[in-house]
Amino acid sequence: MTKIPSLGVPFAPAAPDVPAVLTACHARLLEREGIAMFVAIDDARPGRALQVTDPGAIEEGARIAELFDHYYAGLAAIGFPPQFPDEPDETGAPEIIDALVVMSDQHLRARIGEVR
Amino acid sequence: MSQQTVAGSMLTREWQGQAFADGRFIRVVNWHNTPESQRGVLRAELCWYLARYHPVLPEDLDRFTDTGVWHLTKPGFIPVFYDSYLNNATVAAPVCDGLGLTAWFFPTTAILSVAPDEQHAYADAHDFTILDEEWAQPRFAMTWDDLHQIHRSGHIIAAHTANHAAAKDISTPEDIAREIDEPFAQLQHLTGYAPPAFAYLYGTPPDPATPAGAAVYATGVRYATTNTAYLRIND
Repeated sequence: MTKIPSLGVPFAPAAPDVPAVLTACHARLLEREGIAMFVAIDDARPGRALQVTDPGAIEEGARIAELFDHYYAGLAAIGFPPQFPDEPDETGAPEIIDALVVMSDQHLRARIGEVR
Repeated sequence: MSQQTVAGSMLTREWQGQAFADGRFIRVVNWHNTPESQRGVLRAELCWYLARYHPVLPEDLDRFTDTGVWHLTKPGFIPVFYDSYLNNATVAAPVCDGLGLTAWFFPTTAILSVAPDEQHAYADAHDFTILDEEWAQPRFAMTWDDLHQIHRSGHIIAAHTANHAAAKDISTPEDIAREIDEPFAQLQHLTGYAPPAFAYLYGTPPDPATPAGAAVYATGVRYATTNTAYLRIND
């Protein structure tokens, strides 16, 4: 068995089987596990706008945007199946959150003791 | 972009993707329960993150939102612990302390004063999860003293309403006083500083066109923490 050092970073290859990643995320016990998330930052102060000039953030951001599109499209293709179909959504953005969770599971979440 | 425009438009695929493409993003890791049985896993995970990322403090976010440039030696991440679970005080905070890691805690404040023998009923009514392995404990929520110790250890104390309230459930002046204003005042009294961030249950963005959202903005809190973004809303 070999560890997977490439997982948990943005420049790891995107997972081809997005539904499988979603299934794995739904199986995790998120009430007692860390939920890794890439989230946006914005400046909503009146008259202000966040203009990022940091080269590292721009380079990584371009990759994360690409990954977000990939995982969102992969989930859209299967209709964004909810984890708890009988419960109403309270977030207002279940599709975006699912795409972020799946992407972040593959490209951010700490990989402790996981082998393939 | 105006406050109202951001709140009204941010929950779209296009907005989220553009934020990433522009380099406007941050890594966060959100925990709720951190039971004793997971102490080693939590420590290992935090070590994993620390090896790759630099813990971000509110002043780091301030600097980034003001300048558009990160000044940290590694990409930033925010470790966050939600909801006033006792195991955040007995496990998460000490693990972070041992690693020299400053974390952000978002306590709900009402449960800090709920008597131990009333905590099961309170949990059922307010969307708190008691883990099976902790079901027999005398209490599962931290106290004000526990939270004060977390503050004294140097961690960031942010706001998460009094009773784990969702935005849709905060509409009257009484709701606002109970769920927004009072927790802010209590946390500021505890720590000596205004909570730097605020989150509703379910992580929805505060809409300043609503009474609850306007109240959040009026507290002067710098960051609205949502499921999809950290929004700088005040200086």
